[in-house]
Amino acid sequence: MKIGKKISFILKSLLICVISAGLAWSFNSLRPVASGSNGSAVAQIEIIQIDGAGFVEAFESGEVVIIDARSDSDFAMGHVPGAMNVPSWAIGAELDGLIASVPKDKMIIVYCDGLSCGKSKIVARKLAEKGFSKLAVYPDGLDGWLSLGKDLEAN
Amino acid sequence: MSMKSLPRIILGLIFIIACTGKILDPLAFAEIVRNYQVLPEMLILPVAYFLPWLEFTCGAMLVCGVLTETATIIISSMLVLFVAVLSANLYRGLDVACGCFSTDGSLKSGMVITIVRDVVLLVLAAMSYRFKKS
Repeated sequence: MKIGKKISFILKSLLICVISAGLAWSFNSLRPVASGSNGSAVAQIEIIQIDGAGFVEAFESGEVVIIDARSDSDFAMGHVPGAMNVPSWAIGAELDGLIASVPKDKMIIVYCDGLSCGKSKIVARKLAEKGFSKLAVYPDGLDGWLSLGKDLEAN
Repeated sequence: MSMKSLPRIILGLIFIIACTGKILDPLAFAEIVRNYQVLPEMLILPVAYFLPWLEFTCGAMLVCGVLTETATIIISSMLVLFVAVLSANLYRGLDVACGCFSTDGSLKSGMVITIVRDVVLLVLAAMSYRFKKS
């Protein structure tokens, strides 16, 4: 490749990167909840992780709110009994509506599919941004719940 | 539109479709990027916000026929990177969601199938480059 062609390629690549970065910045700065602008406050809230035994104990106590972070269709097919659905993609007014009935003084445990699913952490962070402080994530998720021999509830 | 434009346009459309979910839910995509365990924490959010838009820009340029040579090379580089990361995860035994066309972490299409799909897209990119505008 000649030097002139190399320089031309680098300049064109830079142009594409600048356009992409500009679009990303413009789009996400216009969204209602996009870039985690409340990140510093959220970072101060500890989102603990609980294991299977802790989750079962909390579930049986009935003193916790259990949130399923998967999609509404997945939730409808089967979820931990009594859990409520807050999909990880929910933002803005939709998110506010979904969590309107969640008491802020109760412990909230969020789960999704299992170890390779990060949706529970996303929802936990969003709840932290909304002022919820007693938050926990059950990383084993639905896979862990089923491996404990527990039943699901379906809508 | 000639037949020679087809690989370029198909590749562009595939990348535009692939990036839509990630653009709409960058935080979910960030979790998928995090699950890959190849990037330091400080780079995860910037990558999750930037990468889908790079896919969109390159895809749109291929569809519109603007800067096609550069866009094809960038897309090919991304595909080679994806194959490398997926192969590394396959070797490590990490069964993570691909995050290729969806931010749904529960979608585990299988690493081998995803790698094969990326290789097919690389062939499409090679055809696109071969038939690029002179």
